[in-house]
Amino acid sequence: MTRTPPRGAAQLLRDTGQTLPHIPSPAHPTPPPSRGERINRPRAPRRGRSRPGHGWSPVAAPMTVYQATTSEIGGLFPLLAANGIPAVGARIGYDTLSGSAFYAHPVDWVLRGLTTNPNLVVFGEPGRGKSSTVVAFLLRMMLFGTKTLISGDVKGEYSPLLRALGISPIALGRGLSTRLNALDLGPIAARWDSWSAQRQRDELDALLARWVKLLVALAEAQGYAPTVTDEAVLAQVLRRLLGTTDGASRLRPVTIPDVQRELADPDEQLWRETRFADRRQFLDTLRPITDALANLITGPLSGLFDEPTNFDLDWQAPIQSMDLSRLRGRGDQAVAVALTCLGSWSSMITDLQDDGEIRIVVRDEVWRQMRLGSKAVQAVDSDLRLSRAEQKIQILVGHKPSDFLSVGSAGSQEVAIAKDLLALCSTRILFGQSTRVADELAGDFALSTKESEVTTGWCMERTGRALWKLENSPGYKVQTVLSRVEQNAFDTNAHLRGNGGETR
Amino acid sequence: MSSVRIYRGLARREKPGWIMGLSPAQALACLVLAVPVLWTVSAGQFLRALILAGVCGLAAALVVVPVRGRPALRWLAHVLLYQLGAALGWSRWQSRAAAGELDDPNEPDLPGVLQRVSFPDGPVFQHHGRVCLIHDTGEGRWGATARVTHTGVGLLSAEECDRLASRLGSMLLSIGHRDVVDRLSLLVRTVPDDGTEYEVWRARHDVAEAPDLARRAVDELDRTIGAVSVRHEVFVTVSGPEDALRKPAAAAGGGVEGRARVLYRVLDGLEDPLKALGAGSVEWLSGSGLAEAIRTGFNPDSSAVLRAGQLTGSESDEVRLPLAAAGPTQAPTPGWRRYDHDAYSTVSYSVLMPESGTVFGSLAPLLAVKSAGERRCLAMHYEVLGSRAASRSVQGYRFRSGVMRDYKASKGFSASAADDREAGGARAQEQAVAAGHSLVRYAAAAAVTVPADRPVEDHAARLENDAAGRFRLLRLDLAQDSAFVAACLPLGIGLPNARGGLL
Repeated sequence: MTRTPPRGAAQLLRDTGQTLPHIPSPAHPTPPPSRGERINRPRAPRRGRSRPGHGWSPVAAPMTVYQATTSEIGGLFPLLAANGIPAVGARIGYDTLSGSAFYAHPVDWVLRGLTTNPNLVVFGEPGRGKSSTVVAFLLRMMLFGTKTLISGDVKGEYSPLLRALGISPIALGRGLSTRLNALDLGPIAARWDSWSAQRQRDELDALLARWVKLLVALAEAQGYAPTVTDEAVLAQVLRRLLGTTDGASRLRPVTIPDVQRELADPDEQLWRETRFADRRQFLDTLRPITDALANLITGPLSGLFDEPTNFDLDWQAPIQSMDLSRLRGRGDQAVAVALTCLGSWSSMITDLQDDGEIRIVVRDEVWRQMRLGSKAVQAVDSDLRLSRAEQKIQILVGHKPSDFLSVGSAGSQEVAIAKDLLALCSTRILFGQSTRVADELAGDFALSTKESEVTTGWCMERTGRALWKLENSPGYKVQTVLSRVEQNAFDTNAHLRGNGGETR
Repeated sequence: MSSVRIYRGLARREKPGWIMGLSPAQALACLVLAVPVLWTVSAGQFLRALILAGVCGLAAALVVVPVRGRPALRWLAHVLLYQLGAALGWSRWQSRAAAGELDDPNEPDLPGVLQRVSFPDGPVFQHHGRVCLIHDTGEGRWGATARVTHTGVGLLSAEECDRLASRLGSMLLSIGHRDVVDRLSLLVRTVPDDGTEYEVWRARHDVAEAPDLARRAVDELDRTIGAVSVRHEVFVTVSGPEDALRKPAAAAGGGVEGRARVLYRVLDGLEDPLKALGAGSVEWLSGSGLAEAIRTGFNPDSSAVLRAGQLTGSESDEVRLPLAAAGPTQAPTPGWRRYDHDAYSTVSYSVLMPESGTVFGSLAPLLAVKSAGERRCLAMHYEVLGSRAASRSVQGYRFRSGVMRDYKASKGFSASAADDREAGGARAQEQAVAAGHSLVRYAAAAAVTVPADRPVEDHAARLENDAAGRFRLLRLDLAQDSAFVAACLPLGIGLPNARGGLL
């Protein structure tokens, strides 16, 4: 059987007596030469046309020509200048090597493939300009709608910026009446009514998971390793306290004492629901976690995190900070607990952020928080890992990498995870360091000899000088430049002058 | 710590003197000039011999004594040509658009040596779109230019620097093996940063409700950082001679398109070596891209308008710069020692290599701008010799450096350190070529450009100071316009053609 060849559209139309409209092909830039025509015809004499006004070159450039072998010619390497960082984000200062302005936008860097995650880690000796650079970055990013949460300002360094912006930081501690409920609903309370039933269910699940994680971390900080039963019961207790089990349409506020009370004095429904044989078994099984929570209420932390939050927080402010400088009197434990509560809070805020909104979370002296145990270390770890998906820029600020190693005994799991945290921060900002620490840095970040010398030499010469290293590409020697407005606003030495950090 | 490698053998002049530093032509001229003197002496006319000796000696001096790189006779010729151009108004420039005679916007309208260049568009080259070819009709060469971003070498370790250096050598070597292309030019420009890119980005991302403090701080930084920071532009141009391209081009369809296709094969293979040299991205320029690169060469200020148009406008034809607008609008007759174009003045130099060798990165001071508003350019033009030409050249070099030394030794004189170094260098080159390396003819040009209202001599002196101790800069007097093309424009023009037969 013979098959007729398939007809094209043009043929089909021709066969039916019509013609396809003719579309002229786009104009060819250079018409193909006819056969025999020379392509290589001189357009003009070698040095131009000798006519008035035609810019005739009287003398061809008498360049000195050399000959060298390809083994040596590389010594004259001309590609010395860097094109630098794309001009997006916050303008930080100069790249002193190339003389170009230096910009920072960690999220954009990820998008352009310069880095793999938007996290920053900042190391430097005190007084080398760490906080000024971080604060300048935060302020300059605000111009593009970026919101910032200072997840625990241990030294009160960020408060001057907040005050300059007309925002009052949340301050906790000695002599202050401010109270923060560790289990605060935060922005959820305000948005709850506007959500659909489905969304409410989803948010509630996420909230419960986060609270359970927080309570478990707080118990672990006191040396008790919670079990899965503890976690299951805590989830049930929280669910009951929130009022979702009895069909209430609004969420009831919950505090740590409420949870502790439920555990210490369970009603029948609770122990039955959680499949205990009797009340006694319930109490005996959950005794350690009940006491761990009780210690939070009665110990040095009493009254700080166990009462309803008694201030209004502006969730829409460009920056929010919790000043913990007055908490130090209550010991490291208090600071660490506060930081853990804040960490839980900050992840709640970011869960609620709108699409496309970038949020910066600054964790100053993050190792304090991580000392609370492996759960706290894991919390930081997971935040860093998720930052790319959540459009969040996590900034870890510390003095030296070995800060991270103090979170547990040598060889422990916490130390192993803490070490990996450095790898989760693509951007490393290294301020001046003493030689001993510089060796540590060089090892951890695979710095070249020249880069290592920069951190011990050049960076020490002036404040605000740092080596910015994006992944493993060569570092940038960046001098941060503060405008006069900023110099006035974030004077981190203000407290040394005795004016209480007020703007001058 | 590893020691820093010193690269030697870079200062071998292409046309060295054969006999006591004289080229054969010069030696012949000296001999010819000596004949009448000897003639008169042999005839016993001593007074005439004396007079003739004076005259011929003067003439020989004109031929032989080099003054600032050029023998006096050549200077004389250059001055005459220069005066001719100035007197007849030939070396003045006014663009057709400025004269109101613009007819075809795609017809390039460029001064001087650039008039011989045409810029045909090639076919579509993968994802790069149409690439503009640079057809030097005078020299019969075809090339293309790419804009390259580079990560810089400031903080690389000595080993990495050595690796980059050897990669540059291998890249040139591989070009030599390709037959189709033989020249490569690298141009780096340090230009004042007008901040356009950031302005455009900021305008797009600025939030109205941003805190006033942030706005004030950023505005202040615009004035402080923005005014003095610089940007770097890096271009790479490859080109090949018509003779090498003709045959494969005919097989690829002939005409401009055939040549483009043959050239594209080389360009494709060049991206990886360039990335190995630290280039982040390689973007082969289209007609308008090349027009912009030339335009910003003549007028650094225009980059702000062009970049803004590019970043904000669509890819429509209206925002593209036509080739007719690539050149300067006006340029008066170039000065002896400077070239004025639009509202800028440029001083260009040929970079002279040090005899004692150099270290990696020694060219950096030539690019380090120290005063606001100044632009600096550095262009390296390479031409790779084929293996036969290379081995012929190194043999000749070894022979030449050996002849004088052997002669001295045979007469009982000890060889000077310079002679030894020369002989050692010649041997090293011969060994390298025998080991598979090749020879590269190269020339380096540097230039400084400042707005016309600034004292260009001060900036030029600063450039010379920065180079002091590493390189000598030879100001290309009387040829500032053609030297500008070699130093500031990414067209791969600048390396003089080898005059055959000398080597």
